[in-house]
Amino acid sequence: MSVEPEIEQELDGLCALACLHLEAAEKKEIARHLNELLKVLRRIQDIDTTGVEPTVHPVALPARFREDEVEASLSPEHVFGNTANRSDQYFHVPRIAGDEPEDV
Amino acid sequence: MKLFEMTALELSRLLQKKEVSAVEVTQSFIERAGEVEPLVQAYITRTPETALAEAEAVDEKRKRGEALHPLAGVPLAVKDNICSCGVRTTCASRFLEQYIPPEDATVVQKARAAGMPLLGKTNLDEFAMGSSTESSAFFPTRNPWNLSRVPGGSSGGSAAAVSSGSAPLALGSDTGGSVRQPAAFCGVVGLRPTYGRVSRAGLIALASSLDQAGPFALTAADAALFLQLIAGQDRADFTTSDEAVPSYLAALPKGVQGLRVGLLVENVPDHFDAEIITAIQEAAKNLADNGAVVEEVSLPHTGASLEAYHLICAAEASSNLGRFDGVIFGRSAAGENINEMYSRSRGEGLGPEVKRRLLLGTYILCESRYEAYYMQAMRVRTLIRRDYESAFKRFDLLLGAVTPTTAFKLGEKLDDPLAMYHADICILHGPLAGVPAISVPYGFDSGGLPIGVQLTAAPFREEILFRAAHFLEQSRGPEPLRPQLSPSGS
Repeated sequence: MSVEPEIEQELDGLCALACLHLEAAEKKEIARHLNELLKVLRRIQDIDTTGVEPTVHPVALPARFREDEVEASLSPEHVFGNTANRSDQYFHVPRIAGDEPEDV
Repeated sequence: MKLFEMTALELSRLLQKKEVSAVEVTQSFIERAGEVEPLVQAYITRTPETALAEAEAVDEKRKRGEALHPLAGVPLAVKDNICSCGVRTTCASRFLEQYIPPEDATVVQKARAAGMPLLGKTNLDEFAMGSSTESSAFFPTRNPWNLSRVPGGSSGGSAAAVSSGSAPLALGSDTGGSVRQPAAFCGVVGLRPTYGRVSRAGLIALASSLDQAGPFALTAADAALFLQLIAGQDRADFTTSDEAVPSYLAALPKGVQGLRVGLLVENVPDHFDAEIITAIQEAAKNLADNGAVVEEVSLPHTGASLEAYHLICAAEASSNLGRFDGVIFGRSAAGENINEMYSRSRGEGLGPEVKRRLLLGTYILCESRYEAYYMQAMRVRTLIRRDYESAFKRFDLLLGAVTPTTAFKLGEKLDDPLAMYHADICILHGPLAGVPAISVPYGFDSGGLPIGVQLTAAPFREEILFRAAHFLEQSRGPEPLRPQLSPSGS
């Protein structure tokens, strides 16, 4: 099956939106599969849904509320138990904004 | 009969009469797992020490005369996308390979509170995305009836554990058939409850408007007993219903006299295995011969369920899996900046099927395509839901296939995602409508592989499913429930 140019042209942009790094070798295979899938999934546009409301949730359930009460929460040991990025009582991450540290 | 060969209900009776201890029961399943796991590989993580400690606690309580749940001392296997406090929960992904939840999922908490020892965590397709358990990042599980075949998916480990006798009951999750399809392939009972019947709190989300946790069991009675335990409203999941939970076991002996059964014409097309079509026709005749009124019924829009399901599922998954960024938990890669860290953590930690679906979801949620794909899929979902509503004005139950074929060969569809998606064609539309459905073993094909038939009911009418499933079980004949495990895999 031929590779449709639209996915190949868009793939880097989609990866950026999805925060997903792909190796060069992966890209070709994923583009091929996505093009095959989209060829089938596009058939949904042939169905007449004029005047049909969308269903977001399958079973109608009323929105429920509860009192805004303070409850027990996880301890710091539990919260940080699954990360390698702990720095004292914080998650340590790479630089988020700017090339230089800003003056405070 | 050995303990690991018994149903959960039989074990429950023996435990309550104090003819066996919870430790003896649990030990029997642990030993059985030791024998069959090298062949089947149903579990990612086995927890024999935890299970025995929990069994000992049950025995102590029974000695003290404490009131216990009927399932106290009956052990349980849990799909590895359902959180278990202190026991790693991987979703069969390298990304979560070392993740240890700080809390139990509500369904696990209920099982543990009832005294069900946790035998371990079972294999699945990575993040429950798949139909064969081959997309597990760790290893494929094998079908106990034929080791060269897949167990189905995504809850293939849970189905194979019950089928192979390494657990009497197991928990799975069903987003688009992931309980019912492996149940059919492995010759066990698998139930997808009504959306909102069972809490999703602690079930790691694939698609939040479709996911439901559900039981695997050897019999409908076992599944009924287990659903009784896990069903009900949960303040940790505001989509759970306050609809009363009826006594499911009490419904079992009622038979099928007077039930109105719709035979789904879309679910038995010509390209399905002839033996599966025959099994469904025999089940229909059996129901009719015993007092049910069986007529054909059409759900005309379910022909678009593959498209609607995969568009909605991919959209929801691409949003839900945004949380896996390598910061708070999971695999963490180095990066020059935060975006590079996110991207590399996800790129290294996630497998090809997950990447495909995340990119598909991102593609269709782009502003220029949102209306044509995502909104259109949700409108088609309305049409499918209306088909079901219309059918349930005429019928109590719908009868159809679970799968177009019996269990396929390992590797057969691995490089063809569309062929894999088509394996779920009979089980995608139920979740779109939120209805409950059960897969019941009903005979074997000429190759000795189990065939399942699917029964579907209106929302919150699981008791009708159990009633009809129990009838079919009782009447289907003396087929063995247990596969003869053989390493040859012929």
